[in-house]
Amino acid sequence: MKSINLPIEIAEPSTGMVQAVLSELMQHLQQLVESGLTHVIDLSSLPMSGSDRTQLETLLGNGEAQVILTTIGESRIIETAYSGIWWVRHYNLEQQLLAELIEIAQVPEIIKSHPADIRQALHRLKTTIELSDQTGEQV
Amino acid sequence: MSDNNLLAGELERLGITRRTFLKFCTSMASAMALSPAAALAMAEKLATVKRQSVIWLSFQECTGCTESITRSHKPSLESLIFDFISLDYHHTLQAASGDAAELAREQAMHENQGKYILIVDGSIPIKDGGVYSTIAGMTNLDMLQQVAKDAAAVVAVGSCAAFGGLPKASPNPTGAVSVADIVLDKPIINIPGCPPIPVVMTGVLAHVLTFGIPELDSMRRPKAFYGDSIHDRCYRRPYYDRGQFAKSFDDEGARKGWCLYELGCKGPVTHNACATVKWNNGTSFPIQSGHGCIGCSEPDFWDAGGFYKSISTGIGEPGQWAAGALAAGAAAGLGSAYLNKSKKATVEKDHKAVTIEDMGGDHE
Amino acid sequence: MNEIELLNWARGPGLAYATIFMVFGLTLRIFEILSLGRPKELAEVRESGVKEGWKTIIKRSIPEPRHWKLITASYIFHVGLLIVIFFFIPHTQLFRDVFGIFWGGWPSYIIDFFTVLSIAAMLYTLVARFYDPTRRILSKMSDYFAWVVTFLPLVTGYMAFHRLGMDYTTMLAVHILSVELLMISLPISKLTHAITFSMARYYTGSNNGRKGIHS
Repeated sequence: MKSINLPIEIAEPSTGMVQAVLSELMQHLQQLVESGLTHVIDLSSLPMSGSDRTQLETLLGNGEAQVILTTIGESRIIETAYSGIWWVRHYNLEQQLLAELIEIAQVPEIIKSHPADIRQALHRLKTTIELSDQTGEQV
Repeated sequence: MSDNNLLAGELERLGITRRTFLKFCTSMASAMALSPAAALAMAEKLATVKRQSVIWLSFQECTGCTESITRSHKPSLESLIFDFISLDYHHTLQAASGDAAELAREQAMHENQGKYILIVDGSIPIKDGGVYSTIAGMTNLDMLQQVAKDAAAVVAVGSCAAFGGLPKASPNPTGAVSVADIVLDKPIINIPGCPPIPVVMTGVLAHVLTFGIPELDSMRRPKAFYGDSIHDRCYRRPYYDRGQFAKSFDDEGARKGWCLYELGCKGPVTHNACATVKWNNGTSFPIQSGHGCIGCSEPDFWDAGGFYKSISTGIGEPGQWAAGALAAGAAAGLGSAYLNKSKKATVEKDHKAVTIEDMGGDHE
Repeated sequence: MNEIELLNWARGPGLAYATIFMVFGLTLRIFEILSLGRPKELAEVRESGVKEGWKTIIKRSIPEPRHWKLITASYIFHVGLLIVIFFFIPHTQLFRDVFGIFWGGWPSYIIDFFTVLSIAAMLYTLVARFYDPTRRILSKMSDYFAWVVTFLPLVTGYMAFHRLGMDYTTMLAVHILSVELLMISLPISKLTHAITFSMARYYTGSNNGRKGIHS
């Protein structure tokens, strides 16, 4: 079957939004330094064009840390070249982007292990140790 | 987390981790244009709350709305909503049947009196006492009135429940009406669409469970999803503004992705989230696939003229009316002409020639 | 009644009633005018007057230098209105539906330009009518009414296209209803001149011709 090419050209000018976002990030980063307060910005709530997004991404760059969460679809989280500024992307099973956020924090909320989960894990680990003791086998 | 009714316990049993849960809340909040802080609040609230009792009544419907919300052939993040609610009654999804099912419904209503959420899909026929759709011998009309009485809120899912939908289309043989026409004393949320987009349904339900009823427009539709028209957010808008329209399907303009106004697109008068949220997990929507919007989330869209006739055309046959009026006018005109002619003839007959002597003058 | 019900009414029964009334009314009026004809010519005619009649239809379109400002404004408004009605693409869809024939439309920004021009020209003619003492004395309610029913579709159409005023669905319904008002007024006001202007010019011309006047 012949494939049909549907070119779509829509003008996407730079809007100056990038400067505004960078200023906002600086304010939040300052707050993080001074009082340890974290902040989250939902990128879909900002009126940025495609080229704005790309420009912001290029400016912030990549740092050393990359985290992938496997949670009914992936979540990809990277620290930008600016420590404390993290770029969070949530995908579903079909690799479609569900949400895109910038978090200003030591580490994004979703990466941290929750205290209740840790207590749970403690309980399970105790059980595992007891079991391996009983059977005398290595678990 | 030993109380099995607490949501977190449920999620634990199902192997849904806290992180997945937070991701779900984050994407719901983002889709509804709520702040990320709201996502956290949503997660907190949903985790500690007792599973919300929901009764789903299906009336004169095609089950498309249930199909849309369950996406039953593939698990998805949206289907998580079913882990936050206790779906105490649903024809298609419940295991029980017959009297046992009706008994379960009545029990849920009694236990959660004043607190359960009633979801309705399908229109309600009221002609001839409502006999055209019954469940367990009870008319839909009676069942709706009975179950709505002790509900906390009513959610009308799909265009049939919200506005009457397909059964209400002319000549409406069953006397189909919407939920809002019957239930007059409870908060109602309309989620129209034929069917509605899955994430729109789950998003609104998630909002109702955590923050209560979202902001609604004059037709009781959540503004977060129905605030804009398709036209407002359509990516083909530049072509409309420049006046570049496809004239027939698969012509040169259509292949270039031009605006579909001339092919009947009802985008300008239709409010829904199709142009931003899209269908099939953001794959595409009708206009992107080259077919005009049919206006399925607006009232009476089945009677709004043909799907392939532009909004600027008349509904019905204007050419025929004009032709009929022309014939009638000509007939009346001939009648009038006959009367005028006979009047003229009378005047001419009575005309008397006047000479200057009659007027009392001379020739000088 | 919600906004979509209003729009469907305007496009459905509203358009039906307006079309029927307008076509019936205009047809009847034209039959009446033609069948009433003229009073019997009692004087001896110099010549037949037919040629002069036809000539006058064209000649009256040439502007008279004395009133050039008003005539220019009037031309701009008439031509602009016809362009907007017949060459705006959504309108061409309506005519195709009714008459079955389709002529190409023009780009929307050109139509937009002519709309603004026509609105400005109409405002000028209204002001000119009101501030000239002679014209003001001669003007009756029916003159202002004809101006209003012609002005409303232009303004509401402009507002709808540019998403001004009320929400689009309501604005579109209001625009269509204003057009229906114009359609109904056509047979029962001086707006009938749209059809009868040529007949009136012929009448005057042939009368003059019979008297031997060559203009």
